[in-house]
Amino acid sequence: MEPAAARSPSSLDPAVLDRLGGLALVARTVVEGFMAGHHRSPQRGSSVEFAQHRQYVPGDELRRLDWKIFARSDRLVVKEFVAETNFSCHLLVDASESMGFGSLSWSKLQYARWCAAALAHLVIRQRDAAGLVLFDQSVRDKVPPRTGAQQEIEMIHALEQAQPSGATGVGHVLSWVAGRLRRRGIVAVFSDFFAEEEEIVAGMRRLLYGGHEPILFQVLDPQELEFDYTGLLRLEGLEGLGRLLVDPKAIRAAYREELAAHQERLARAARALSCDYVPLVTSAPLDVALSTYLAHRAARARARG
Amino acid sequence: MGVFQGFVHPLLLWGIALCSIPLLIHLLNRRRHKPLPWAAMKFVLAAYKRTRRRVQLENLLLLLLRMAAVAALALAVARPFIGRDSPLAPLTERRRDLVLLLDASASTGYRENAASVFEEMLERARTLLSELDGTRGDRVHLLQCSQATRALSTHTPDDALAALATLTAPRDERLDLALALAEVVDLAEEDAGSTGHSALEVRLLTDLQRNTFLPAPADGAATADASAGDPRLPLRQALDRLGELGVQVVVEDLGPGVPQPPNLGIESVAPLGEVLGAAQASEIAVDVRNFGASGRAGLRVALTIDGVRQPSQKVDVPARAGVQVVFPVVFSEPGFHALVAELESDRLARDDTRAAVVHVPAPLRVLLVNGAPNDELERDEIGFLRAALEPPDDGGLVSSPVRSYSPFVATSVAANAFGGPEADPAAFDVVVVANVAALPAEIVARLESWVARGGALLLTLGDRCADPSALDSLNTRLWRADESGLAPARFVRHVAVASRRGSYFRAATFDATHPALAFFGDERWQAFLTEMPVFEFVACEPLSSARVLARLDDGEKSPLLLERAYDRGRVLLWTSSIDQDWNLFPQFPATFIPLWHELLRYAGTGTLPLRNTPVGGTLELETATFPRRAALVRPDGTRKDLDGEPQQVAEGLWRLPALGALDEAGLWRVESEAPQPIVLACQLEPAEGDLAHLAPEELESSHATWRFRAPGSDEGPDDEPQADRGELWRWFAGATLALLVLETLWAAWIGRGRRLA
Repeated sequence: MEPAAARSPSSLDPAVLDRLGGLALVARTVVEGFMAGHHRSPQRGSSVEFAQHRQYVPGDELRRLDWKIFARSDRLVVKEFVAETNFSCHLLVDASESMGFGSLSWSKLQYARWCAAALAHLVIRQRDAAGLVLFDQSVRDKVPPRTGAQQEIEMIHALEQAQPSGATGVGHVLSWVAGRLRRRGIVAVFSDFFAEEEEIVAGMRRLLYGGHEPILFQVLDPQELEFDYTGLLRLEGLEGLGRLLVDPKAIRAAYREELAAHQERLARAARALSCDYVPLVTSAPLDVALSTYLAHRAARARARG
Repeated sequence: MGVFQGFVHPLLLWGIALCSIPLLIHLLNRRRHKPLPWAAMKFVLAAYKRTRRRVQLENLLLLLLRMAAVAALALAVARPFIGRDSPLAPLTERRRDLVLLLDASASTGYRENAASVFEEMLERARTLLSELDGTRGDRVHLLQCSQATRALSTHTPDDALAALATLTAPRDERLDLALALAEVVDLAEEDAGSTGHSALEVRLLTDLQRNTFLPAPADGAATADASAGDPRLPLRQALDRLGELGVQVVVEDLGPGVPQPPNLGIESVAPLGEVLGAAQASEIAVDVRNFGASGRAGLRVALTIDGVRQPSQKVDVPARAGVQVVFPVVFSEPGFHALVAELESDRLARDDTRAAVVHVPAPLRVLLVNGAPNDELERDEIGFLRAALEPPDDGGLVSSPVRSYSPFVATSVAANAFGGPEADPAAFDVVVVANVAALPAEIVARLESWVARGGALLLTLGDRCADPSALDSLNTRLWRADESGLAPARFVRHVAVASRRGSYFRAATFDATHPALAFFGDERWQAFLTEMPVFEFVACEPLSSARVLARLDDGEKSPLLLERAYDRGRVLLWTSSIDQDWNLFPQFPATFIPLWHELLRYAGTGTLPLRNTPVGGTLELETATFPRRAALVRPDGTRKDLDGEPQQVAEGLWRLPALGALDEAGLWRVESEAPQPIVLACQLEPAEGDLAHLAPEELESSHATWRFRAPGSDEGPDDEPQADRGELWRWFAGATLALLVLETLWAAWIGRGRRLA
C-alpha cells in the first residue's frame, strides 16, 4: 500500500488537468505522474522474457537500463522484453452528445480525452502501437494503430478535434470495429454506454471473437451517479430524448436504482465474457484507467509468454 | 350550503376561495423548474415512470390538506350555524345571547312591600344573570331603560352583574319603550347578519304600566291606526321589526299585583292666572290627581314658597279624579320664586312632591320722551299715556287693593332732556319716543346699543313729524337701507283725511295672535280697536323683517302698528299720534288703556328666561353679573362645578356654560359668586304616577312580539332559554388545526423519504 503522502495528486487530479490545456501536456503529465514510482508496473516480478537490448531514449524507465553494459562500455541501453513488442492498444472514444454532459468544469468527453491521451502516450512510450477511433452512432474519425511519436501527435490531434454530437451507437461501433481491426490487442472503450446493453454485449463478443481484449471504461459524471440536485428541474434530454419536469428528490432513489441496474447488467455481461468493466467518475484521478491498462498488458504478455 | 342554516358572517365565506391559493402556488411552481441538459435521460424516464403515480399521490394529498385547511378556516370565521332539527345539532355549541332590559322609570319606585318594584327587578335581574355561563360564551346586553336607553354592559354576565350593583334607584323619567326596543332592534339586526333571523333572547323587567305599553294616541288620531306623528308608531315599528327578525320580547311583570294601584300625585303647581307683581294678591294652584281606584279623604297638601311653608290644606280627592287646591299668596319681592308642593307620602313618593319656579314681575320702568309738552294733559303729547300708566290719585273715592300698585313706573322727560342723567335709557325697560322729529346722533347710538342689549323702543308720531324735512330727519337717524337702523320702516309721507267730518281711517286688520293685541282678539273687544277713527298718519315702507301688527283701511292698507326685532330687543312703531291730535284713541279709555298697557308690557317684558324643565331637559341661563366659579347643585345637595367658560352675549350679559340634562326632579341651583343663586325646577312627568296596570292578555294581544312571563313561574320545555341555532365554528377551527398538523407531518414525511433517497 503506497503511502498517501507520497502520491502526486496534481498530475492525476482532473481539476488540475483541466487547467493544463493541451492534451499532449496532459498526457505527459498524467503518465509521468502515474509512473513516478507510485504505480508500479504490474510487470514487476512478472516473468517476462528478455528479448533484446536497444538504445536508450529519453523517457525510458531508468530501471530498465542495463547498468552492466553501461559499466563495461559507457553505453546506455535498455532491456526489451518479448511482451513489450508487437503490442497494440486500440482506443475507442465515444464523442456522442451525451458525452458532452458535465456538472464539473469538464465534460465526460474531456475526461475520456485525458484518459485516452494518457494511455496513448503510455502505450507509444512503451513502443507499442496505439490507434484511435472516435465515434458517435458510427465511426466518426480514426487513426490506425502505429508506433512512434508522430502517431501520438496524430492521435492527440484527433482527440482534440472531437466535439460531442450525435446519438450514441456504441454497440454498433464495437461490432463494426471488431471486423476491421487487423492487429489484435487491447480495445479500451471510453463511453457512458447509455445504449442498449444487448448491442454493447454483441459488440464485445465480436471483439472477443476477433481475438481482442475489450475493456469497457464507463465514464460518468458525479451527478449522473448521485442525481443530487435540489429544486425543481426541467431536464432537457441530450441526443433528442425529450424533456421532463421533475422533482429530483422524488425520483432520486428510483433513478439510482435504474442506473445501478444498468451498470450491474454491464458488469455482469462483461464478467460473463471475461472482460473488464471499469466505472470511471469524472471527479476521480485518472490512475484507475492507467492501472487497469497496465494490468491487462502484463496479463497479455504472460499469456503469450 | 344545504347542511348549514346560515352563516353569522356570510361575507367571510368568500374566504373559501382562498383555498385555491395552494393550487395556484402549485401551478406557478411549474414555471420555476430550472432547465438542465441531461445525458442519462433514459434512466430518469424509467425512474419517473416507476414513481410518477406515488409522487403524484403524495403531492395531491399535500395539496388537498392545504386547501382543506384554508377552507376549514374560512368556514370557521364565517361561523356557520344549524337549526335544532339538524342531525349535526349535537355537535353545536348553544351559547345564549341575552338582552336584559330594566325598566328604570320613576313608577318602578312604587313600594308595595319592603322592597320597591325597582329593587325586585334588580334581584330578578341577578337571578337571570346567574343562569348564564360566561365561560361557555354566553353574552348579555344589560340596558337601563327610561327616557333614554343606556347600555350598562355588553359583554359577560360577570360584567353585567358588576354594572347591576351600581344601580340603586330608578330614574325620575318615564320609560320610552319605543327607544328601548329600537336599541334591541339594532342588536338583533347585528346578530341576524344576513340570515334575517336573530337568536337573541330579550327580556324586559318592568311594572307593566299601561300608559307605557299602550301610549295614548296623538290628539285627533284614530285609535286603530298609528299614522306619522303618532307616538304609538315608533313602538309598533320596533315591534314589527323584531317580529320579522324572529325575536320575541319576554315581559316579566314585577309591578304591583293590582290592576289599579293606589297612588296620588301632584300634576302641577303654577300660578292661577297672571301674577301681577310683588305685594299683589296671587293664587298658586296645586293640581292633585288620584290615580287609584279608591277615593282619598282629608289629603293634606302643603306649599312652600322660597322655603317658607304656607298653611297647608286638606282636600278630598275622589278615585281616578283630580282636584285643584288654591293657595292665596302674596309675593313680597319681584323676581323668581321657588315653589314646592307636597302631599303626604304614599307608596310612590316621587310624585308626591313637585317644584316650580314662578316669575313675579317688577313694575315696568317706562321712560316717556315728550316731543310736544304742554301743561294741559289733553294737549300734552304724552298726557293721556302717562295717565294710563300711572292713574292719578282719586282721593280715596275707590277702594281697591291694587290702588297702591301699578305695573308701570313712568318717567317723563322733554325731548331735549333725553339722554341726560335722569333719562338714561339704560335705567328703563321701555322708552317711548313720542312725536320727536329730531334725535341727536349720539342719542340714537345709545338707543341702538340699549335696544340691542334687550331694551324696547316704542316710537309714536305726530305733527312734529309730519313735514317732509322732519320725515327726512327721522329717516336719517332711524332708518338704513341695510335694515340696521332702529325704525321698522322708512317714513314716506304724511297722510290725512280731507275732512274729519266726512271720513276717517280705521284699523281694518290686525294680528290677533300677537301677545300685545290678543286682548282685542276677543270679539267682544275687537271693535274697540277696529272702529277707532284715525285721521292722520305717516305712510311708511316696512322693512322686510318687520311685522305689521295692524293696518289701516286706506287704499294702500298702510301700516298703523309695526314691530321689528333689533338684536335682543325690539322696536315698535305707531304711525299715528299717541295724543288725540291725529286719532281718537285717547278719548276711549276702553281702547287706549288696554292697548298701551299690553303694548308696553309686551315690549318691556321680553322673553322670560325659562326656569322650569321636565326631567331630562336642559336650560340655557344668562346672568347680568359675571358667573365666577359657577356650580350646579342638585336637589339632593350634590354640587358639581360647571365645565367651560361663560360667554358674553351682550354688554352686561353672560351666558353660563351648558348645564347638561337635568335628570332629577326637584329644585336645582346654580351658584356662583353672585349674591343670589339661580333656582331651577325639574319636574316629573305627571303621567308617571298613573300606575294602571296592563293585563297580560292585553299585552300579548297588542302585538305578537310580546310574550308575557310571570317572574319565577315554572317554565315548560318549550320555554327553556335555548338558542334557536347552534354554531359549529369551534369544530371548523379544530379541523383547521388538525389539517395544518397533518399537512406539516405529511410534508415532513415526504421530505424525509426523499432526503434519505
